[in-house]
Amino acid sequence: MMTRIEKKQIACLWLGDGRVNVSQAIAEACYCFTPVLAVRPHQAVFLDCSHGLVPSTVELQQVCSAWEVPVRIGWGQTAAEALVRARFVHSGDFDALPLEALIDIPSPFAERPDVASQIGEMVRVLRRLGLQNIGDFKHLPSETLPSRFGEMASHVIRMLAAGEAAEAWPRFVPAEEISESIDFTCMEGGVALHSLEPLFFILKKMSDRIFQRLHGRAQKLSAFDLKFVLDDRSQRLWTLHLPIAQAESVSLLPIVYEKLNHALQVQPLSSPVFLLHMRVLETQDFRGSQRDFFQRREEERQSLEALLARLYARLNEDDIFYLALRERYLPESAWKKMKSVPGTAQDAKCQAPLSLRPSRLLSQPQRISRQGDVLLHFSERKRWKIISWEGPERLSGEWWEAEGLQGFFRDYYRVQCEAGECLWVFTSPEDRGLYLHGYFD
Amino acid sequence: MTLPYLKPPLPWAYFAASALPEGLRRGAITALSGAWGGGKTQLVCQILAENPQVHAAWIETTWSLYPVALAQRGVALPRLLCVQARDQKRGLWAAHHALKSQVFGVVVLHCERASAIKDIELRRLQLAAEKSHSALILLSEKPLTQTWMLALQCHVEREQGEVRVAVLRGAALTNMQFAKSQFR
Repeated sequence: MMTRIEKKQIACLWLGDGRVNVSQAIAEACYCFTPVLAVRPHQAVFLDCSHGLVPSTVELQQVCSAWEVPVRIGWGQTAAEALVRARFVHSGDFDALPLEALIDIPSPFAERPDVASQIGEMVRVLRRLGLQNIGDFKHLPSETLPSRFGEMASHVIRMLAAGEAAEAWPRFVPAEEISESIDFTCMEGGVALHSLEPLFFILKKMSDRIFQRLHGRAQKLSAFDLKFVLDDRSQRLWTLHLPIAQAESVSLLPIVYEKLNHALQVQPLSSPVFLLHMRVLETQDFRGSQRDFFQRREEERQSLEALLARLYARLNEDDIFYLALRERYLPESAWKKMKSVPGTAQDAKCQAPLSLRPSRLLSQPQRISRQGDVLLHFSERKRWKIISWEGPERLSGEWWEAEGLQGFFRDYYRVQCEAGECLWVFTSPEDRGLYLHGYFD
Repeated sequence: MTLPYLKPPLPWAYFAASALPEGLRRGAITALSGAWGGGKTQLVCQILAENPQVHAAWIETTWSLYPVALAQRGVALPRLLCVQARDQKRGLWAAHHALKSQVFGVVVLHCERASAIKDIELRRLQLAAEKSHSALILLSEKPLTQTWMLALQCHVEREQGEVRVAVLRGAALTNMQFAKSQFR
């Protein structure tokens, strides 16, 4: 829900009385909307959305929801206006705002606390005189104010009349290190936890915050530290390097669960956990594209990446692969494993041989013997009665690949057996042996 | 008392599979059994070749699949993710996650000891297949015994060079009715 506008539009995210310092983290998460940001320490985040796409109030609330703080959003032409509208939850006539809103107008970024205290004193006096809102204040004769309340009072009047910004926006610098901690003892009804299931509810909250902050910087997570601080003051630390960088906690958590579940089975926690800490070690660039309404390509790509990361974490990395053909005469060398999806150009270049190949190929040809119309595999204790032989198909060459320039010479046959099996066997003129190499399964 | 009206199968509930009586059922498990060299892998290749738009995952405990043969039978290799699971437990785990990801239309799991699969594991796969609306094909030498969880159970064998598919359970055809396939 974005709309392009011409006039100056500033959003203020009012985060409350500043009991929890999340303004810096929320500002980082809002980087995806605009690069022009400012923070009022512990209390508010300002977004200048004048140049570009304006996020909707719902989108801003969604970003803040990961931190579970009550947020109030106000919009205005200046930072001061947006701030007072958010703080006093007022979107109507500006003049109807309560008189206390004047305190924030000269210094919306709270960089001059002395000014706020001066204006606060003035507001208390004006309240006693019966003034209710900013409209009442505007009607006061501006010439009389400096003598009673100092220069700052007339400055406020001038600002209200001109609608100008009070001061330059302070520079916002994102934190060098992205980390999040959750202390259970500070949580409502907080108790230390000792089993993995409830810990994962907390971990999900934490990873949601981390991913919101990474999303703001257009980055994906590729390595991180996870630390459990236990009740007996001991610590457990895990460093996880993800084989494929992840952009969502939905795809990250199953990998973490697998890892922790295994680790805690080997070495259980000595006492309950009372603090979780997650720290980002490595990231990758991520330019997320919008989801297509008609196609699921983007969602499928993310799901595939999440699946691959899970498979890599559990299985051997070499055991997950795509297939590609190679131009080789030796049957077992005529294909290769690929880490990524092979391109179509490569497929077009490599053509499959004309003669039909078996769907199952043994990793090593196995020696068999023939006795009349019976084939015997002694080590596997198998016996096949032959119905027909098709062939031979002579495959040879590749002397240029082998050391000592010794190529291979094989005569392949397709053997139909009485029980229904179809075998792929070859004879080697070197040792006059018969080998089973595959099945037409 | 009248019997309830049986709805005909919906066209999007099946993948095209000319060798199977009704096609390959989506959101369910299809078990294909048969001896080595019987032709069950060729049958799966034919199904994949008939559905070139479908992404598939092929999971084997011990890798023996020959990609050259797949390409010869018209399987689009770039659409095939392969997993060598090394043991059956990991194979079942990989198949479950492949189904859960909802990326693949068809997941093929080749089990060397299919009789060792527990009911709970098979049920987990069945639910994952149902949720993702994907088809799970279980390949094994011997038929599975937990037949109630299978939408279709077939025995594949080769007779005089031609692959024959015997429907053991699940299709509209009667038991042991043979559907002669078109390939060798």
